[in-house]
Amino acid sequence: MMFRNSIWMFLGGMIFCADSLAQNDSSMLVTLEAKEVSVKEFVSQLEKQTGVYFYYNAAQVDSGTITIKVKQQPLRIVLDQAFSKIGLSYVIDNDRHIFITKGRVLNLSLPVGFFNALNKERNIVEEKAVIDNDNKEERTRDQKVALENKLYEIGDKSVSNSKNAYTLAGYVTDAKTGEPVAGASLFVEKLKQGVTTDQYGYYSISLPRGRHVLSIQSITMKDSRRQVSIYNDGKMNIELQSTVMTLKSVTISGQKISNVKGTQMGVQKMEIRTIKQVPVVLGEADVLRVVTTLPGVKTVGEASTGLNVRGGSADQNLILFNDATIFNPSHFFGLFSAFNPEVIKDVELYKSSVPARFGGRLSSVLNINSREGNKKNITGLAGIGLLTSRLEIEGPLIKDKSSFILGGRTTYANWLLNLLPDQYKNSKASFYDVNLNITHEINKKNTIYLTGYISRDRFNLNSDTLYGYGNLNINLKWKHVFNNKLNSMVTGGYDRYNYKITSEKLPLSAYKLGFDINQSYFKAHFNYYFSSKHTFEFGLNSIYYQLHPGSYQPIGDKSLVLPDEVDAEQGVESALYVSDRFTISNSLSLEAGIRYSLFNSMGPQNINTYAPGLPRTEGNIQGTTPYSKGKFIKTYGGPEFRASLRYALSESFSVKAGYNTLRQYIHSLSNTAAMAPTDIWKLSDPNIKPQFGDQFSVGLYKNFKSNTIETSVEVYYKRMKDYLDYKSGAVLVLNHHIETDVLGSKGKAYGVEVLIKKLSGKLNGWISYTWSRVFLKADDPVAGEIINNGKYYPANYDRPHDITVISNYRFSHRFSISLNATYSTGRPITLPIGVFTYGGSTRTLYADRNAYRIPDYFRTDFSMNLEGNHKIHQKTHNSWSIGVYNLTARKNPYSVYYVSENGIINGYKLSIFGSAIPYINFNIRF
Amino acid sequence: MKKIYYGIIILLAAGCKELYQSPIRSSITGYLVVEGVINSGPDSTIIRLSRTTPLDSTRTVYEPNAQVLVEGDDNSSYSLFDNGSGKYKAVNLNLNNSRKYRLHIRTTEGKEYLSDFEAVRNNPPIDSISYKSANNGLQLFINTHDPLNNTRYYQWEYTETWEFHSDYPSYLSYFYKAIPGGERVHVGFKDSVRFSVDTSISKCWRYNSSSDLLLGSSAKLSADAINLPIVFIPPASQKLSVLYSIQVNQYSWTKEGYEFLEKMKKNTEGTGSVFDAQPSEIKGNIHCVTDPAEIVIGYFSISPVQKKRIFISVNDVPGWKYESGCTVFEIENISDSIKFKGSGLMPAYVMQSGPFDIKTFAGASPRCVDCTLSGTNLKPSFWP
Repeated sequence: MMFRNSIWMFLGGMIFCADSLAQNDSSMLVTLEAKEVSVKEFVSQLEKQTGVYFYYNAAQVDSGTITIKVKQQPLRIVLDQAFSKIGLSYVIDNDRHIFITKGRVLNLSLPVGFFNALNKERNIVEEKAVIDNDNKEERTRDQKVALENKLYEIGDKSVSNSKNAYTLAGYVTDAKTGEPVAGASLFVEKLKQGVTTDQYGYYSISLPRGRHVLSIQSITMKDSRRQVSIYNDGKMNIELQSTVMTLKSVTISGQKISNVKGTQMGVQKMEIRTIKQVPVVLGEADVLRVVTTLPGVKTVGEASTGLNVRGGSADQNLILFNDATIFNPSHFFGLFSAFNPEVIKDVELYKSSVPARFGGRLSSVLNINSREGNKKNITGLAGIGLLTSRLEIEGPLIKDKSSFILGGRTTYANWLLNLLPDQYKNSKASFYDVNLNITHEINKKNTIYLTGYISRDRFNLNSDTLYGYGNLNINLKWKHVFNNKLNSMVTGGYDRYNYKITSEKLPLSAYKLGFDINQSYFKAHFNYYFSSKHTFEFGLNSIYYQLHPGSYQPIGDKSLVLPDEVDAEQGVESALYVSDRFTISNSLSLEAGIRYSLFNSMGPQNINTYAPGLPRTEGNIQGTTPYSKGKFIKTYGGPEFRASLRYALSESFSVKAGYNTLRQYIHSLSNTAAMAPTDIWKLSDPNIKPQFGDQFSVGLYKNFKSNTIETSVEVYYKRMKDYLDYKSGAVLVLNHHIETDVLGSKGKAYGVEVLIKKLSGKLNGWISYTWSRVFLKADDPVAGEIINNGKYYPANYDRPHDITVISNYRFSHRFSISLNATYSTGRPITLPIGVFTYGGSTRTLYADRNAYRIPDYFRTDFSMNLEGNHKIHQKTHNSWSIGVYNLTARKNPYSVYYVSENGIINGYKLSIFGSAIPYINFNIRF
Repeated sequence: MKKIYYGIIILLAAGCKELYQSPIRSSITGYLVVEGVINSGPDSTIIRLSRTTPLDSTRTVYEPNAQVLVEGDDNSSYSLFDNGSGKYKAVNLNLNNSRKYRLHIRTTEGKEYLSDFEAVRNNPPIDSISYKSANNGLQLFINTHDPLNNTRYYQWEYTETWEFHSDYPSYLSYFYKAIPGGERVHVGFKDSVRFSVDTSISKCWRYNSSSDLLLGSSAKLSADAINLPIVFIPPASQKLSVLYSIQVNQYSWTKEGYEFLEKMKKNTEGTGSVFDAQPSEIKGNIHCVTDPAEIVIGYFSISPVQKKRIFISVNDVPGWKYESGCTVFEIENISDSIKFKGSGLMPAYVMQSGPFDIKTFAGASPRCVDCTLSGTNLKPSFWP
């Protein structure tokens, strides 16, 4: 290793390209007879005869012996004959030096402009490899070798500097598209020191003075390395070659190592490539569905994209799309998620160690990052499925400086609705969504990112009532690099979610009912790479909320509907945070953060006051206090602690522990088991306390087979306070005193999560198993109702056993098959235990809440992905995906309900997908 | 909203609804159900005791022969007597409005049940039952108010009675005559002397009782006044074909009692969608003393019962058009013709007379000729 390195340094430092000169020297003649001699002996003979000098790595060449008999032959022919049999290559330079390597031939040429760069800017070496757009494999390989062999000098060696460590920073990008490579790991093996790039491909590493080999690994990119000599702080941008076009893919992932090496716990990151190969209903790659296959993540059922993470309710997840909050992440009654798979890069789910920069929800953060557009060429993709179509175009606005990516989806499901029985024939349902992201690099230190997202759903089911809901999100981010150690990201944006129900058939009762939530936010986030031991993150967030909880208005002159409007709600949620990633030693590291969050409920609003100590019921409303505009009604706040500790027992085995607290000031009110589009949101106010939760977790992480198999076991215990449950028969729409219909309950959740993951190789996928419980308790008499005698009862999404197998087998690069299987315990339901007659009709008697369970859930899905040929020069690339959802056609019950039919109460179980559902999808990339 | 989602599910699942066998096996005689309000006034009080039954049972199981007492906090005690059917009755209780009372039940199996002590509640008289046309039908409203502003929580029960007439007069009847290998049939006058209409099946009355819990509260209002829709008579309904009457009983509840009824109502409202609200347990103010863990369904409440009856004639509702959907068929008075065309029809009146006999007659669906098939021809005592 050492020897080879020194050869390369030698090459990088001194040799000029001179293949033609070498030709002359090598034509000297050799006479030699040798039988089974070692390479070492062979070359020493040649050195004696010809005066050339050989360089080689002894360890590399001692594997074979040479038998040769030549008389007056040119040196080149002799070498060719001798080395070809034992797989060695050589290069001769004009100084009669011969370099022997195993496998690949050394390239003695240097990239164009190398010396210019070196001379002009000795302080900052900018790698500017020129990539030809003809994309010839040979050529890129040569370049890669050249880049890897080149020595980058950072700073001036002659200038002595008292500092003993310098920072090197820059961006890692895809050489082909110019897009940043997030999550790439950069490490110096000798120092056992490494960092990963952030979402924008930015890295900053602290290195001692001297020469280092920086290895760069990323899941989607070819491994690479850079030789650096560091004498001062400096910048180095690195371009990586993607592996997509190679025929023998090598995915040694930086991320896999980060599972063991990272400090954070309960974090799952998934690339869109992985998400896309998981079969889903109707064939539309679905980020949220794939997230539900991870341990600790559950759903109430199939018609719901609400996630329940580690015993949390659906509204306790912060769903961020490029920092914009998505309030309703589903389309089409929850069958599709709101995210266009073509514009998504990756998804991160934080279920335990939530970084200090996030807050405001109790259970998890689902951070969805979109791709940046291709900075080199215009490309795109069109996809056609049975129910949806999508289009995506991306490309440079200014080559290598700015790019855009535009994606859109729409549906044409009405044909499906027309196949239904008459009573639903006139139903209509449609949705669309549009994404636009623009990235612009103003200069080396400043980059701006624009994200825009809009979605809309409309449906009616053979009625004249039209339902509609939509998300609107826009934000602008500015990344500024102060210096190698400090950079900032400032974000400003606006999010909106609204729904509207209109009915116009009967002129006298024509109405519209609306709800909306708006938030404007500002975030300033700083990364400070203080030293190789400390990385600080700090910043502040502020969100201004405005909600219109309900407005009921007549439509038309004839309508007799009395207008009703629930008071608007305003509030400001702010937070200051700081965290430190502290590498205590090679094996021990700590990530600790504190976030101080503050919420102010603001006027104008009328707040009901209740008699103290009495149940919060309508009867106990003492009066109403009006608050004027801008006046603070109530302030809540407190510190949130985030800490996690990692101890590495070996390179591939670590133990982690973490403790987290979180506060939530905005609540979604729902008395349905699933997340419905008409769920409303409510801000904390004097009558509704913020939710508080804390979690303690411990985990073991072990990687096998050079990090290709990742395993982990995590155990957690979680407590929740003032979690909002509803009272029996709560009214949530147009309720002017909603606090009387909800109650703050306590919750506890605990579980074990096991994950075995293999993301490379022909057979890849993961197996996750979760055993978990979640219980709620409502025993506060002031809340107005005691549920199940004030004892703990299982929550709706308490499904103790949950096992999921996701597998994919790649027969070739063009053909792969996927098979999923999932099993989970049925969710709890409240069943009637008998019937009785009262008030003139038969009624059902329900006893304890959630005392029974619906039958267990089991489903298998299958899909095949077929790609067209991989020739690079064709104009378009096609791919097909064909699959079957619910292969075994099992009727998995979603719910059980009782109806009175002809005087008898009958129970029914309802399944959402009662049969195997085939699908087909066609994609074309241009 | 629920309907919408139910629709969606049908849409996606068409045929994914399967019968569900509950894992719960409850006994035939389950928990005690206590229904009724103690009438503190001079009128009669009826308390009904029954038992919960398994989910698939169809009939109500009553609890007869229990000892039912209303006990006052002044140690007064009043018995209610069973007529053997589980209905316990007392008249003229005339309770003291300043006292509190409780219900005390001892069943034949020896279990004892006690309610909390409850005060006698105020219950103002019903002001009126008004009506107005709405959507081509007739909407009836209950109007009541309490000048003392302390009733607030109301429940109503109603019984509708209406007179209706057969669509076609009944003069005729079939007459059968045995012949070799079968029988012959022809029509003739029922009253072959006077050729008159059979009035016993032309004028009838029907009843309908409320089967929903009708609840109303003025708690949100500044004054304790109620104006709520109580029943809707659909367009062209038979109820208003001649004369209609409704009697409404009004009860007064405490807030807790009212909430008990509200929960019960919500639990039994249409369910079955993905986005259903969850059902909840209902707890009243009656407890089992012998076994405190035992569930008892019922809420003990004392108030005078207010009653109001109104009549609405078809003439009071201009433009009311009763549509019976009845038609007549002209049938020849020949055995084969009657057997062929008159199958399932009832003879009504003569259409064409021959010189000696009825040549053709009008036949109609039996319910269009004989009102006793859907009602009773016994005139109610209160009918004008």
